[in-house]
Formats: sequence, C-alpha cells, structure tokens
Amino acid sequence: MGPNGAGKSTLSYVIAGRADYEVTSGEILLNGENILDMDVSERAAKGVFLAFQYPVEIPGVQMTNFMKTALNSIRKQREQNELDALDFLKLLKSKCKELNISDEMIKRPVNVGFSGGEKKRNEVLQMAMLEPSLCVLDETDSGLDIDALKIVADGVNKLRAPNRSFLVITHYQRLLDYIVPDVVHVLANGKIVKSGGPELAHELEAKGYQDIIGEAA
Amino acid sequence: MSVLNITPKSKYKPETAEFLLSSLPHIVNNSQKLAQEQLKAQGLPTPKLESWGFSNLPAALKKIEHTNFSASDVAIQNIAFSRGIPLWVQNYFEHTDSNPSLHMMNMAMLADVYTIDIAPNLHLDEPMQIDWVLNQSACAHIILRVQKNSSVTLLERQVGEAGWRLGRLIVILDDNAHIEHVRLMNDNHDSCVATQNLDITTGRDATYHGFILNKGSAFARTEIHGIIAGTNSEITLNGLQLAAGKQIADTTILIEHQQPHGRSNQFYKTILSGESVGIFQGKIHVHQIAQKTDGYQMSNGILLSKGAQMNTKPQLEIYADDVKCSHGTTTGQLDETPLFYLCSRGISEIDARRMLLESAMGDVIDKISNESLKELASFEAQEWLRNVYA
Repeated sequence: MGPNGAGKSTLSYVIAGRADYEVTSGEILLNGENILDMDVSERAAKGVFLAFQYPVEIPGVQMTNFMKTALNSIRKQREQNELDALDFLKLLKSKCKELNISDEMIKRPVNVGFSGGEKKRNEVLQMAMLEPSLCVLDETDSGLDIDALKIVADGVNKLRAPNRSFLVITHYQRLLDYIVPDVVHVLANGKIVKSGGPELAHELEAKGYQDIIGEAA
Repeated sequence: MSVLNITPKSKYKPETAEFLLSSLPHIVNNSQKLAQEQLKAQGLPTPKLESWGFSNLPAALKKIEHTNFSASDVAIQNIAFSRGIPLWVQNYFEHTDSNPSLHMMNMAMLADVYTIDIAPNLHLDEPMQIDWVLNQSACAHIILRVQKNSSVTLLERQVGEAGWRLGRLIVILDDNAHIEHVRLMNDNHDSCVATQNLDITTGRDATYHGFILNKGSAFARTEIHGIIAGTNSEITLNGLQLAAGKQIADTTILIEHQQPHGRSNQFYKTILSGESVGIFQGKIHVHQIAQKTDGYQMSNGILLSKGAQMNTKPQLEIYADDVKCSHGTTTGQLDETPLFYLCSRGISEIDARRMLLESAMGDVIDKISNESLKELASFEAQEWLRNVYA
C-alpha cells in the first residue's frame, strides 16, 4: 500500500521487466534466481505474472489465439508439452467456468469492448491459465464496483496456494476485506517505510498515509 | 472455364525513345501520338514535379532490365471480353495531361487494350479473375464496364518476373452497379517496376469497393483517380503496402466528388522494414455542386526499422459548404504498451510483434467482403510477415 506517486506501479513494471525502466543497482531474486537479466517473456515463463491496472485492448488479436500462444510459449520454456487445440480449449473452458466467465467473452479480441469488471476478470483468467508462482496485482480494485470486486477477489482467492505468492498493490483497505493479506507493507517515496499484519491496513484507513509515513520518518 | 493468353505488342523502346506505329483506332492513335510527342519532349516525370516528389522513377528504371519493352501475357479467365476499343470507351482515351504523368506514359506506351463489358441486371457470384504475368516490359489497358443494376467481384493477381509494368484499369460503373475489386501485387522485388493507373467512375447509387495489397516490385506506384459522377454513389479504397529491403511503395489517390450525396473512404496502412520507402498521397476534391458529401481518409505508417521512411501527404480541397470530410495520418513504430502486455504473458518479442502486425493488417484485410478473397489476401500478407521475421 502507499500514497500516489510512491512507486507502486513502477515496482510492478520493474518486476515484470518493462523496457522503459532501467534498474541501476540491486537484484530481483525469484526462487533464488536473479531475473533482472531476463527479458519480459522469460520472466513470465519463470513464473512472474503482472495483472495490469489498465489491461490493454488489442484489436484484431483474438482471446483464444492470444491465450493459446501465451500458454504454449510458456509451456515450451518450462519444458512441458505444448497443448493441441482441443486440450487447450478444454482447459480454457474449465477455467472460465470456475471464474464465471462467459464463452462469449473469450470469442472477442483481447479486452476489446470489455467492461472494467470484465477486463479485471480476464486478468484473473490469464493468471489461472498460466499458473505463475508470483502474481503482482497492480491496483486490481481500481474501476471496479463492489460486485465486480467480489468476483475478482473470489477468483484470486481460488488461486491462492502454498507455492504461489501474491503481491497485491492497492490504495484502499476495502480490497483487503476480500483478499486477506499475510503481510502489509507501506511504500512511500520508493521505500518500504512500515510493515505489519492486516491490522496495518485498517490503521491506514483510519489515519491516512501522512500520519503513518510521518511516524515512520 | 476459358483461359485466354494475350500478348500485347511493343510500342516503345526506352533505349532509343522510339515509338512504334500503332494499329489502334483513330481517336486513340491521335491521343497516343500527342502523348508520345510530349513525353519525348519532356521526359519521364522526376521528383521535381510535386506529385512525384517522393518517388524517383527514372532512378528506379535504371536499376532494372527493361530494354526489351515488348511482350507480356495476360491470362483472362472466365470473362466475356473483346479485344479492341468499342465506341463507348473512346472518350477514356482522350489525352489531356500536359505535364509528364503516369497517364501520359500509359497513353504513349499503350500496346494493347482489353474490354470487359458486364450486361445489365447480372449478379456474378464467382469472382472474375485476371492474372497479369509479366516477363518483359509491357503496357496494357483494361476497360471494365459494369452496366445498370449488375454486381461483380474482380480479382487481379500480378506476378511479374522482370520488366517495367505499365498498366491502366478503367472501371466504369453505371447506375446502381456494384463491384468489389481485389488486387494482389506481387511482382519480383528486385527486377520489376510497376506504374499503374486505376480510374474509377461511379454512376448514380453505384458502389466501388476496392482493396489493393502491394507487396511487390522494386518500385511500385499506383495512381488512383476516382470520380463520384452519380448522386449517392460510393468509392471505398482500402490498401496495404508492405515493403522491405530497398523497395519503394507509392500510392497516390485523387477522389473527385462531382455529384451530391457521395461517399468516399480511403483506409491505407503501410508497413515498412529494411530501408524501404512508403508514400501515401491522398486528395479529396469536393466540387461546389457536391453537397452532402461524406469523405474520409486515413493513412497509418508503421516503421519496423531505423532505415525505413514514410512520406504522407493528405489533402482536402472543398468547394461545397455542406459536407463532412475528415482525414488523419499517423506514422510510428509498433506501440510499446500492447507489446509489453503480450510479452508479459510469456509470448516472445518476435511472436508478439508478429501478432500485432497481423492484427494491424487484419484491420484493412477484414474490410474485404468476399470471404475467399479475404483469405487469399490474408495468406499473402502473412507470407510477407514470415519473410520479414524469418
């Protein structure tokens, strides 16, 4: 958690490997391996998944084709067998069912014409398909009404597993009523200034960021 | 299905700038003589002329073998056609240009004319197909008339091995006539130069719906002149220019709205790799009488390499006061944000680029309404993409 401009989204992009950011020092270790030298798709194959704050609309690229290319590309890099069209569709449909995503949605081009809620559900669907080990959720709650928020949070909770970590970025405590965190970190000016349990989020909600950051400083 | 092979005669020897005698009808003969004299006096168009500012034709011709300007084969399939120039088309051979132009060259070097006349009230479900095979330099004109209430689909495939292809296709649509026209240009990238006129005239309620895929020739210039000559008629020009290496791909369009309630759409994408050069010049001219005109023009250039170059010149010339006209143009690299999105899902950068380019090309190809022609165009475009990222 952290105020505007704290560097939360920047952190998520740096972890995913966006080329606009240059890391001048330090390492990012995932399962003991430094991922900084890897390009974006290699990091994804290693298990990094970024759920975008604003999922990108890609007209002309069909959801199924996109998902199949992504999954098989990752499976190849993980030295797993690529799925044929039939097995892929079976898997996709079963994940859609679990997440209450209509068949109609996966027939469209990637995110094109999706509502805010559909876009975020689509991010969760991709996460379920690609089975990452580190999921970074960048302000997943932004632009969602309460009902959509519940659906997305349910989807995320279903994916929680001992071998899968989540880094959930948010401004507000509300999301954390549905996705209950193990640890809360407060990021300000690019640094973690305070860490604690779920109660820290409630404290932030009550007092605001200024108090906490002030205390920490 | 009847297949016809036709061999146009030689008219011009570039090495001596001599023209051979013509056996064409009197009116064409006179026009041709005039054009030949003018061309001899003024020479080929050079970049000093405004409309040729980005395309150096004489330089391109120097790089290819084109001295044996003599014969080509045009196979016309399944078309009732006649060779020669009936009375109703003779007006189209009046020579009026006074500056060196493609029309002037096409008139001066014209060797053969084919006429295709579609009778009224006909709906041809199967596309007509014209295969242009070019082994040596040649110049042929095709005049296609679609008479009242008829509709046709025309596929042209151009596969040349060597030489300078000069050509002119004249499409005349009578009242309520409709055509979907798909041209796939795939001449040899090193040894061909292609310069072609496409002249379209629409009668009342007529529609011309066109798509041109240009991925061929060392130098390819297509000049399109569309005339909205009947009320409530429409001309749609969609196109994809795909160039690599040192290719030059030029599309120059003039749409004239001469009657009210006309609609024109231009939607072009130019994708350039290597050191290729793309040119899009498009002009919408709305005459004073052409009220309630709806004109649209969009040109997008995508540069895949540092050495590629895109030149765009959009123009509007409007003399009527109750019209809707818009144009836009963009040139840039592939957008980084969708690229990052795809890669973040494990797709390699090359595959992600390929997917985005496929989708960019699909925007234009999807506008073809005939399904089999759409598939064909898509196949040709994807083949180009595979070569670029080979």
